[in-house]
Amino acid sequence: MAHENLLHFFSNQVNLYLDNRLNEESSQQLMDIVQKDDECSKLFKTERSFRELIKKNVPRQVVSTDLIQTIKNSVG
Amino acid sequence: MTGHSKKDYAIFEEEFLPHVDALKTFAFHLSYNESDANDLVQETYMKAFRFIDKYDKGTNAKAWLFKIMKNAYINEYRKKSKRPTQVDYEEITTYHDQNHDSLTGYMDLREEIFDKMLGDEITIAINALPLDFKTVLLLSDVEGFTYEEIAKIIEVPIGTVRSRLFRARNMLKDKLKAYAEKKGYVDVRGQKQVLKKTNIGEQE
Repeated sequence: MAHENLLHFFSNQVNLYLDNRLNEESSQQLMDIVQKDDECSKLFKTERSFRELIKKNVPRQVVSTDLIQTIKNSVG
Repeated sequence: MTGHSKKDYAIFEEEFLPHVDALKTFAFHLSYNESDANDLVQETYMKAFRFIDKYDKGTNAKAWLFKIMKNAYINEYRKKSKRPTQVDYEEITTYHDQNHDSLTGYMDLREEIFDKMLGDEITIAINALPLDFKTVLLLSDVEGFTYEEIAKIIEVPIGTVRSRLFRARNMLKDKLKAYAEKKGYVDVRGQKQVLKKTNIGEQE
């Protein structure tokens, strides 16, 4: 597989991998590429960091006890 | 409200209320302000309780509540919004089959650049996404819903979830890349990758 094709294949598969959409065999195949190819390894780390960045920077909103009580009263 | 059993109240307390912070987070990103977000959360819980007979105890309460919230927002709150939220569905359906240069830009992003990003910039970039793209991004990458769960929540096929998510992430990467360049963090390696659809090995 030419390197450009490998990157092309990898770019698509890495998203599916991080979304838990790949089966065991395909996941292993992807991890083998990560181990062997520096460019793919960097791409993998960047995509993983991107996901962590989103998760880290969308903080959980905390609902006030007043609102929870209002909700309970509205159904009670 | 009348006609509800003790079991209904138990489900409400034990299965619905634990998701209140997650719902508030989603509501906040949909409505853009605290007051509307609180109203949306309250309305979601009132609707959930009204239709609690449609919910099967012990199943996916979180996904069920998110679906109610999404519908409540679409039906009532979105009417008030002046923000453009229309998605070009033709673009979505064809997007995944097209060569796409924005991922080239993404490949020019370094992992370290993300460390320099400020939370506010990321939140602003996420909120600037069109509603339908932002929704799938939040449901997947913040709430951790599966493609199947998201498909049920927003009532679209799984393939549409996948393509919207793909598009949403690339739109966000483009915004962050522009921000990084503005701040001088650019790392252009001059790569040009032609990307085509390859989803070999995806689980059904």
